[in-house]
Amino acid sequence: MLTWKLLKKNLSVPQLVGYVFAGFVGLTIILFGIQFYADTRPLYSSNDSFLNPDFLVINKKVSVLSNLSSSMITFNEKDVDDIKKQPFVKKTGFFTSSKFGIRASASSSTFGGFYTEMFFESVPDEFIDVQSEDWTWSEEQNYIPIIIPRTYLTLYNFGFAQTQGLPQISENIVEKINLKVTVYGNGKTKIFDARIVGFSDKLNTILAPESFLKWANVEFGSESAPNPSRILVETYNPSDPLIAKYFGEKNYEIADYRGNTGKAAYFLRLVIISVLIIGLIITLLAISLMLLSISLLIYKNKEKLENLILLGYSRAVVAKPYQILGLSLTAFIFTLAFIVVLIIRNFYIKKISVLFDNPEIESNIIFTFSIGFAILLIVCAVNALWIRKKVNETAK
Amino acid sequence: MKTIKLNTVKPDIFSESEISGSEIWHKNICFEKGNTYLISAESGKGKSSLFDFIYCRRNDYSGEILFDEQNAKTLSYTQKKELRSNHISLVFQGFRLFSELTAMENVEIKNRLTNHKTKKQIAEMFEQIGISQKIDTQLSLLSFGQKQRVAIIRSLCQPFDFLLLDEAFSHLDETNYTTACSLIIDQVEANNAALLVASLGEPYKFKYNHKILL
Repeated sequence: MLTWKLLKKNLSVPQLVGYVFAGFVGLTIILFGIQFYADTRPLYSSNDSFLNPDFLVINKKVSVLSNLSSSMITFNEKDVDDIKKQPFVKKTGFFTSSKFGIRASASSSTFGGFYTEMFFESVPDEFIDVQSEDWTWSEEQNYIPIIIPRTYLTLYNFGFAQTQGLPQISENIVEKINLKVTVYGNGKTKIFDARIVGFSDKLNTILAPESFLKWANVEFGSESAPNPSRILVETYNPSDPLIAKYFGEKNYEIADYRGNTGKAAYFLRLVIISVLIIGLIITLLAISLMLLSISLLIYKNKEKLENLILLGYSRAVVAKPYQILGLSLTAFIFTLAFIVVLIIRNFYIKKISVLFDNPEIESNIIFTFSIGFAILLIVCAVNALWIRKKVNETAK
Repeated sequence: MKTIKLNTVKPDIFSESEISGSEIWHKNICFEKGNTYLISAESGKGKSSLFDFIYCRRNDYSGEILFDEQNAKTLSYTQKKELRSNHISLVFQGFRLFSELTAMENVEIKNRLTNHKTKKQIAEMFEQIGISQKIDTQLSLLSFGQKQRVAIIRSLCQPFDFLLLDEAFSHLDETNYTTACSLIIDQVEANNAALLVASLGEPYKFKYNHKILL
């Protein structure tokens, strides 16, 4: 194309290489930040979906003296009445413990088998927010849903499995394991099917439906109920400063691991936002570099531009080679950045997918791609308009 | 386009005394299609300015220039493009050629826009005007006289009603400008166009209907 042969004159290759490099770095940082955030967000936002966030779990601090008497770690009637009187308390609930023997076993071709003695606790159903069909039990039902602390799985994955060379397992896999639970006591034995239906950060116990525990305590139980060691408190506003003050004075603990993940998520977000801002600044600088470079090019080719226009060429035709140049470079940068982000993602996604089965991984790529594509379109539009403006100014 | 009328046109840069005696500045004059005009003047009397005004490159003048009845200053950008592609052709005094292209490419860049001549016709014009051996030479390697002839060929690669020659033969000897003139006359007659020749006084090989002192 003759016009291109003419207009590429004075093209500064180092400047354009600079644009490609800076643009690539900037865009890669932006796309990576977005992609990483999208991929890790579920890790941080997963919470006790079945436990209302307005509930707090309270226990007494365990000290050296507490093994002298169980009353030091359990709540007596007076303690409970005092808590109920607090202005921030809406409702209280108690844990019910199993007073019978429980033995759980599982066999799996992948993980081998295991067998363990265990226990159950329950809390009133109104404190549990699981799909009702998952969290029910009746006497004719031979299946028990169970919720276990998330820390159990973490302990297994990062403590046990890694050191013993066992495979790491995700929550989804755990939820598919079929357990056999043998309940015995009072001279009776019964075998139930069981499955883990959820994980809890707040409740450090193994939960079964309250209806099951009440029935089984009567059927198999032997002892009378001890004082509760933990209390569930529903508050009007969990961030009320009075709460921390009251429980602090009483030397009670509030179990809330989610607060920590919340902080981690907050810092992660902060870091990613900073990274995105840096990426954005680099990208903006790269774009300015390109715009300046093309302005300079147009200025240096001013006479040629004017001559072409005097020959009868339209400004659009004259501007086109520069617009195509900007567009191709930007498209190249975008493609490169996207490929690099995909490669980097491949490295970390394996780690993440072990920890968390993420069914939305595919759509996350599309999301990042869309953002990148939107940036590409904006840059190309700015570039095209800028060139057109410069050409119009040069060749009036 | 049939006529170009100049009504009391005066370049802003000229004072009244500088244009005294001119038959164009500050006068009413009409150039008509089919006629040949010699516009002679010494240097600095505004020959190039006159052609710049008619070619709508500059508008630093008072008075008005009318293409048929359309005022030159009111032409839109697209109309100017149309004017330069199909109605007025100009051989610039400074050529306005592209030194990084070959002689042929310099002509093609215009012809591509108008599709007025075939490549063969262009080659024939190079032949006729005596620079066929330079057809694929980069323009920067040509002499002034050769460049001037490339500029003349380029100006003929479009339909036109008016052909303006701004000292188009200043670097050519008599033999060369004679062949150039006959090429131009052929094209002007084929287009039934008007020819406006600006020169320092040399009439070259044209037959004029009007001789005007600028």
